[in-house]
Amino acid sequence: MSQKPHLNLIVIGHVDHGKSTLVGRLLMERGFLDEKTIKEAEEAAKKLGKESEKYAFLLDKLKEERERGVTINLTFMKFETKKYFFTIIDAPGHRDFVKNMITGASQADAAILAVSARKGEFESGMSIEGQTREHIILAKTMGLNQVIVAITKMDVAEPPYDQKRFNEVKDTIEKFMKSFGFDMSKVKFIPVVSITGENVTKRSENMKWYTGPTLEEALDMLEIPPKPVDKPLRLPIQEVYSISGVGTVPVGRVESGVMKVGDKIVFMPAGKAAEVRSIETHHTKLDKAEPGDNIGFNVRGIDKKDVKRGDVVGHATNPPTVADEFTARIIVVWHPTALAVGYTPVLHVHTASIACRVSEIVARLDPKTGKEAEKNPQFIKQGESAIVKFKPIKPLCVEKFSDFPPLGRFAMRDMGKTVGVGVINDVKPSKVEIK
Amino acid sequence: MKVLLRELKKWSAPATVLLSLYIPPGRPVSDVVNMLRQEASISQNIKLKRTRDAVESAITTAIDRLVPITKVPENGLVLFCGQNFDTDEFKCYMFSPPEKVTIYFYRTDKQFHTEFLEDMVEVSEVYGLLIVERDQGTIGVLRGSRIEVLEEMEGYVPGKHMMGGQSQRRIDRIIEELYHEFLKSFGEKVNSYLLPILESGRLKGILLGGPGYAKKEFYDSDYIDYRLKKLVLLPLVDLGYQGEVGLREMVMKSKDLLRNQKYVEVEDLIEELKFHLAKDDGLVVYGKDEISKAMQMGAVDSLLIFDDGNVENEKIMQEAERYGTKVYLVGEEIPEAEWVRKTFNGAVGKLRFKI
Ligand SMILES: Nc1nc2c(ncn2[C@@H]2O[C@H](COP(=O)(O)OP(=O)(O)OP(=O)(O)O)[C@@H](O)[C@H]2O)c(=O)[nH]1
Ligand SMILES: [Mg+2]
Repeated sequence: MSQKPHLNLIVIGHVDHGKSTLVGRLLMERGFLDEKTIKEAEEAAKKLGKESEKYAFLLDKLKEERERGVTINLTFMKFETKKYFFTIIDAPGHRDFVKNMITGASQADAAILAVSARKGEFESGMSIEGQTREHIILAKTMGLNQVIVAITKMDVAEPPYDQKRFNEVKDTIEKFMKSFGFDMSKVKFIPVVSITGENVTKRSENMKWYTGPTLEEALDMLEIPPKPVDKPLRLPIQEVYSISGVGTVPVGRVESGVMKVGDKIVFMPAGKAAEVRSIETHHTKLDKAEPGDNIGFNVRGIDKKDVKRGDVVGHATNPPTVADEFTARIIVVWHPTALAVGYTPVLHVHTASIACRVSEIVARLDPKTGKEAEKNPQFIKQGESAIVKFKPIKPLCVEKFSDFPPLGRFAMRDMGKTVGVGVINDVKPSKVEIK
Repeated sequence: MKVLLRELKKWSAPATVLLSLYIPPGRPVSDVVNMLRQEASISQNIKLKRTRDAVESAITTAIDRLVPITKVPENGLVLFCGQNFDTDEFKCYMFSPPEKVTIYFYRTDKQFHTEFLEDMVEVSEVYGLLIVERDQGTIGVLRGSRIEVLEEMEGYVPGKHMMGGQSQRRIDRIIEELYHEFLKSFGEKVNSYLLPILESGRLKGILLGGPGYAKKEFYDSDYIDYRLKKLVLLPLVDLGYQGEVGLREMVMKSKDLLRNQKYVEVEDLIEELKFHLAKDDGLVVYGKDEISKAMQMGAVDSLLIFDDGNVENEKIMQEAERYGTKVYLVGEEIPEAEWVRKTFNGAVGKLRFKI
């Protein structure tokens, strides 16, 4: 594997705004796709009469994705810039697959947000139901502070390559991101055309007014987040493969600690113990995995039915916490009526998505001071902040935010929308027997 | 069951000596027995000896029946015990009903409380609920005010993580095969759950939903019995999640197709109550005296009552009938049950106008 420092980069944004096309173009220009893959995608696109979509087809490989022109599952690819080795994650934009996008976001260090400049497309992404808006909130919630905003499809803006349109899109996004707490000095806006590659790796002749970095240059300006190697091991599972001849291979990103070949580990909440046989990343064997490494690992003593997305791996000596109940500080970002005890949204914590019941509203908080404004209120509504107790309806691993930030923050979703975000202050563990 | 109901309904007593007890699954038997023991000691204060003796023997018989049981069965338990004052006949029925008991209810009254059983016999309309995607599925049913998950399935269809390189085409084919195999086994499970309900004549319709296009593929191909397919209500529902949450979302998104279903009416009422509470527009009423006063003014449109066997609630219900207020009696099956119970002491109403 490359000796360059490693970063996980996710590409997010509203459906059809050009995420897959942008990733396909970037990888192709930099030579990170082999001839065979490119040819296969071109032929498949031609066969379906969608030649313009050949770049997206480099990533959208499922039959359903190609026929519908929509990304469903996350795609993980590798590529390098001058400075970094990247795992790039192409996320779906369609609203039904937001859950997959969140899983990807929970595993990323930085994001490219693709926003179409095309008339109508930008507007629907920023509408109250739009995923440009929702993905921005979710990215922030899952701890993504470094964002590059690629303003795509500049060739079909009205008029084409219009600087005014670029500024209009930029200002709207900037204002919204700021309101959700992004440090805008770290956010770059780049006008691109993916199908011709303008401002992706080479400068655009059509947008001379833009003097900032190309997308590739901007990627090298990202920073490597700190690696908490000294903390206990926490590795949320993103997917599980069962490969004939190899066995069960769980896949995920190490959030903290170090996992070595031969280590005795446990899968929580099931409490299944196992031994690490081998570790791999992008088809390269590793002796150990550190925070930020996106790995597949082979384990002895585990059946695929024992592990699933959302489980967390730790060392047998310090297993991840399974919550009986937990207390969190939440903010309600959207709700047409109000939240009361009994309300049961889906909580996305790390790679898990589990319905959790509000068992108590401990206090409503004053939005200005953050101090307690009312004890045990009857309900809380949009814009309000509160201390709330949750009871997961199925076993769930979470941690205090102060101990393990990536396992202590979450998004709440209901009726197809993000209703709130939260941070976990306290966990009442449930006893789990290690088997 | 129907015969038993008819028999139970015949019973009446001049005093409150007939014991009815509903125990939902999961409730420790020892808790129930302790409660009965307390009730037995309270009954010592009854002045009339005949009544006192009758109540006492009903309670002790109930305790005797319960003590040998280690765990409440899956559908819960129902007990009716009492003495017929006309014939002096003493009877005690204990059984696990055909459907889940969702409320914990205890009362000694002049008649047996059979209404919750009638619900089970009467709510003949059942809707099948199906959520399907590439590698996951949920099967459930909607009955009255209850949504039940019957099965959650996982298909282990791989995503795209390990793909690429030489064997792309082969891997693509394997993935597509696994996906269709999953739809097939999901269809078989659906048949096994829903056909018996269909054959009993109670299956009113089926909602089918899920993220993306798998639901359409599932519907278009013949993965389920043609008789079930005919009952699928259109449009298919776009959904993000599986499990109970997904089923609830599907029902609420299809509420136009499900008019007059108690579940939908109750959920709508709860949302409306929250809406008015949040707006603080004075259109929500709670507190026993306040509700009663508002009803007498004809101001209460509908009332949500958590049924825990509280006598106060009984009174409110009788009053509601007189003033044209719609009453929804709910048990633990409603997610907000605890909210209604704790915050509003078990009863909360929506007003027609501000008072
Ligand atoms: N004119 C023009 N069209 C583009 C550009 N980028 C993407 N498209 C087109 O936009 C459509 C959607 O592109 P995709 O890359 O599939 O979009 P996506 O964001 O990955 O979509 P989802 O993954 O389904 O959310 C395709 O038809 C692309 O050819 C661009 O820069 N210019
Ligand atoms: Mg895509």
